[in-house]
Amino acid sequence: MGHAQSLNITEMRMLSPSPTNCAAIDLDDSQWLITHLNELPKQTKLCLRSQLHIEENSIQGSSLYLSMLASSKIYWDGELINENGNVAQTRVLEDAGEIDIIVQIPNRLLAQGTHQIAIEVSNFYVDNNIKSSFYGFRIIETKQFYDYIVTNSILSAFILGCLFIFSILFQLLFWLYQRQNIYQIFSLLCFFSACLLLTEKWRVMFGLSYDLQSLRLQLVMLFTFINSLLLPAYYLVYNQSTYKTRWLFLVFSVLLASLLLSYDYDDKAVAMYFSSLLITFLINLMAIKKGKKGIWLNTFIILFGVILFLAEPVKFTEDRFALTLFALIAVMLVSLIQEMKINRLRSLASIRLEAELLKRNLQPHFLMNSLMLVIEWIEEKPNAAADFVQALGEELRMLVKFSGLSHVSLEEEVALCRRHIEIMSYRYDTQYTFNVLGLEKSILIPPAIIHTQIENAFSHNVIPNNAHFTLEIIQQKNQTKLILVSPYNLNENDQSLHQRSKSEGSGIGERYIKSRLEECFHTNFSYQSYSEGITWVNIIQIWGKV
Amino acid sequence: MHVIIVEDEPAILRRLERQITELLGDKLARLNCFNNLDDAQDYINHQAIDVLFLDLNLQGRDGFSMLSTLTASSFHTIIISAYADKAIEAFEYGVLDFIAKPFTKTRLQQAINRLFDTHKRQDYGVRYLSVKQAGITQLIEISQIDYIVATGHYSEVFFNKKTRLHDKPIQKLLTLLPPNFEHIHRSYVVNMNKVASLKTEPGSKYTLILNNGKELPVSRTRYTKIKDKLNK
Repeated sequence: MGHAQSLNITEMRMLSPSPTNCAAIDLDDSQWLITHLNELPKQTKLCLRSQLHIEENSIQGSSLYLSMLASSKIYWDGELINENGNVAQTRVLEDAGEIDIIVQIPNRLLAQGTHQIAIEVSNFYVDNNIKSSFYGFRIIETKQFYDYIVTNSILSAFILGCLFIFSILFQLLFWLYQRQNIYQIFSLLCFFSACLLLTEKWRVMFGLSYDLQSLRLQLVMLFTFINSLLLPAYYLVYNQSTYKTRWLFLVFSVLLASLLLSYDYDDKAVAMYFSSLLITFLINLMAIKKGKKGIWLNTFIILFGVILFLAEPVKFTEDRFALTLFALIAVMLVSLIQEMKINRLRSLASIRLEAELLKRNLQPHFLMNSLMLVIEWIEEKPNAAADFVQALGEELRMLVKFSGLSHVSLEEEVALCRRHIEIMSYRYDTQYTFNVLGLEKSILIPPAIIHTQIENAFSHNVIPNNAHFTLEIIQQKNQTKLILVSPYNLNENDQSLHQRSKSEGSGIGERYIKSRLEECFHTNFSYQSYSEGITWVNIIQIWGKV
Repeated sequence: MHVIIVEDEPAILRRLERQITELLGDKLARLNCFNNLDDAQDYINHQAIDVLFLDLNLQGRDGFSMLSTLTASSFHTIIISAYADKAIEAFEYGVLDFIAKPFTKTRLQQAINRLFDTHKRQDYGVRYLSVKQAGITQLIEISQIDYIVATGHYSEVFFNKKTRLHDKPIQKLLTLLPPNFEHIHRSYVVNMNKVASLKTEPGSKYTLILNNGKELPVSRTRYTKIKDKLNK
């Protein structure tokens, strides 16, 4: 056999219950059943025997590696070379050994020729839920084995450390910086991924007595369940998906079904991983379809996870789910930090918008024109001047109040618009009317956006006397439409001063409306502004809750 | 004097109409009011007017391109606007005055005084002279202008070896120009910054030589003033 290769043993002659002279070289085992080690009986004491041919002295410095849920005594050519736990006839007497053992074979026993391996095994603590109590039996190079253990442990320890630190960091962010649900979910996902990885790697890193294997597997199931739930939950919140509760309910039901319907631990895990990855993938696909940016990489990793899973579902249950999670978490971390940056810019933008609203409405042009009228009326019609000043005061008071808010009720917005139209009626010495159809008080919108549309109508247009403004509110199942129809003075003459910009969404006012809507509804809105004969139509359409 | 007012708010329009009528008194020959510039322009295209009082929305470029078209016309333009921060820019385009809203009657009086005071020069930094040529308005940098010659009711503007005809008579143009523009002769206004020397010839004939070699006549009555100004 090659120097670097290991020698796998998967079948041995078996006798259960074990005879007292299991290790004896001269014992005749020719009538014993040749059994695959995956199919060993449970909760019994057995004797396993096998012959091994060593052709040359090439496996000097080798070790026996045995991984099974049992206490064991290993004999090499009748000589006891390892005792793991206390092999016994009954559960009471048995002292559970470690799952994984590595036994250096003395060089004197590795001579060329045929050797006799015998293992006395008792496995009274094996749980019936466990499909196979055997994981591996091979002769391996000692150094290679320890190298593998050390590399694997260091890598796992590194990832564990990262995950725990992320978890703590995002708890701190949540409690001390910003109470964002996404931080909490991310922190929990890191924490439970770490827990999952730790329980999975505990055996390799620290060794584990085989009677605790069931407990370990139950913990793995628990953490898998939690992570499988948190993963889609994270993306539901991150993508601001609609129907979050329904999605979560779906995930929860599928996971619960996976837990209850499958018998074996591995099957349960496989079902949970698969459904979680698949649902998360769907959630992200839907978000991408809706125009969500910046989750391509996430979605790609999830898809990669699904492919990895489909290729080798069993290996996936060992540690690849935790590793896929770690890869995802690394990408999530980048997205979250980018999101923080965007949030900061957004809050700056929001302050700017407040200032803009104030500036735009307390701007000289509106005030000075109004004051001009006051001067005129003080001389000519003092009573009208007093009424006008009062109306003006009320509009300004409302605007000042609005400027500090991110939302106002549609009712308040309508009141502001009425005020403005009243003031413009005074100024143009006519009676403009404002009809509101289907007013829904519960609707919340960004402040002064309808007001700005009305203002625009006045500043880009000669509004005829006694003109009508109409605001129609249409609420359908999942969308809200606010349609403002204002008079539009169609000017044939291109030289007109009052030429209204035909390009959609230009101008300071339009920019203000769009920024405010973006701040409030992100991408879940549309805004149109166009002329239709002698009217100008502004349509705000909002999807989801308003 | 033939005056028109453009103002879209009726109460303010009435105020302007009333006060301008009072202030101009006998000098007012005719006064027409409009609530939009389109109608006013139709009127201007068929009637010669002397002065336009205009409420103009100077937010954005449209207002100023409109303004340059107006200042290229034969009449004076006085802006009445709430956009007080745009006053300097409006002066650069050659408006006679800029009255910020809200205004008093006294301020209106000052603007009207400027209409008659042909000796007073523009203190504000007028930067452009807008001229119309084949229906297109062109802005000439004031500092590029060498001299202006009166030709009947029009003026001929010489700059950078080019010539353009301006609709305003030379007297009206002069009120818009900065103090370095000097009336050297009944028909000539020169940019003193472009003058190279003053030549005296026998028979009390005076000639101004410009940097570009062009020679312009100086009238005897104005000679001393020009000489003083050049020696400064």
